[in-house]
Amino acid sequence: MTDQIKELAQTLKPFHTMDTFKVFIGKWFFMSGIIVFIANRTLPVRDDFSFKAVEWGFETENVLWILISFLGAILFYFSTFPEKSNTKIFKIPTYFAMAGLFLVVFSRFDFQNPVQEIHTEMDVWRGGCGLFILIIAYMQSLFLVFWARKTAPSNPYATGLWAALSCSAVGCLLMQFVCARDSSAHIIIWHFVPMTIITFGGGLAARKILRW
Amino acid sequence: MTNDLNFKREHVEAKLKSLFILTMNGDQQAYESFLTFTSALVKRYLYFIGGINLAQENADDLHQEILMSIHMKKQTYRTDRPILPWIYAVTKYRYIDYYRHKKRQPLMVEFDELAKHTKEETEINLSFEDILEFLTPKQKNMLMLVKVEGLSYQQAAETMNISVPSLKTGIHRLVKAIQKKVRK
Repeated sequence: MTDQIKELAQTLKPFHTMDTFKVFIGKWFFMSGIIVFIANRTLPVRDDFSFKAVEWGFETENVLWILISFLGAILFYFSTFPEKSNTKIFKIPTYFAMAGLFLVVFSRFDFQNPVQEIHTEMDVWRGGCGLFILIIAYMQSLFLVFWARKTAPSNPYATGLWAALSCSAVGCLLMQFVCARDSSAHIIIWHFVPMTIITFGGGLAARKILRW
Repeated sequence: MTNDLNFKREHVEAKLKSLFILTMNGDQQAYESFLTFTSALVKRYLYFIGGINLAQENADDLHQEILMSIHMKKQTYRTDRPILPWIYAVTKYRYIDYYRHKKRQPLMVEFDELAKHTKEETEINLSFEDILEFLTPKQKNMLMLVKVEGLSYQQAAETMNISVPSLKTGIHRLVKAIQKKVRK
């Protein structure tokens, strides 16, 4: 044991500890800004954007997406350290934001003609939104994965889950400005479902990627 | 160094933290002291969570792995927080991970360990024939195929016309039976 300690000590070089919370959040905002900039340059803005921008429902949805993404990033940060942190104050608002978002979207559901609405949305060509969300989430996740590989999460699944939630919420937020289909069924099938799949997929992938 | 552990928690915390801060600047002497001190703490913590079930051989392997993890992930300690929870968190994670990994291949390890022990112990207490005597013909067959002839589980299961899980269970039971007999 003493030999091992001596060997380890001999390999020591000066080092820095991981970024503080403020530095991490600063980097996260910077990375999100780059993603928004790229999306703004490459994706077309929806035709009815000027009308939608003044609707309270649209604004509420955007605020909730930002909240989910931001809180997801905070939860990701705290989950990357081996010791436990008290994150209830971030988890509870995240769950409320997700539930609130679902309620706002579901309140628009066409109960007069539910089968027709779902049937229309089952067309695969409408699934482009899910693909865009995946691409945006993937771009955003590169930063988080790069950051997380240096860390030591005690629960890699949870770390991956929060990272993927945060990234896919950025994707969903950007799709709000691109996708002109506002129906409840469309948002649930082609925005919420891909986000859920990405989130749980992120958790599973993290089990492999973040082993230490 | 181990006597230092009898200090109050605050003293241990302060000492480790000051050593860690020196370590961050590349002080190898401080790092060696930090690791030596941490090593003693880890040993004590492993005894606390693993108790008497933690065999000496396993404890040494695990202990080395934990020190390695502390070394590899030292940058994850946040200097504004206490250092002891961080050390214990790494230890606990590695402890769980070690046993989870070990649990996936218990039969191989148990059997090999048993083979090693029975060889030494049976020379004193029992002969190999004595051991074979109390085994059923099916168990003898399993033992001969897997350990004497060196067939894989798959091949042995096919020869005996049973499934691989049944063979593994059978071997596990006979290992237990031999252990019991040898200890008598």
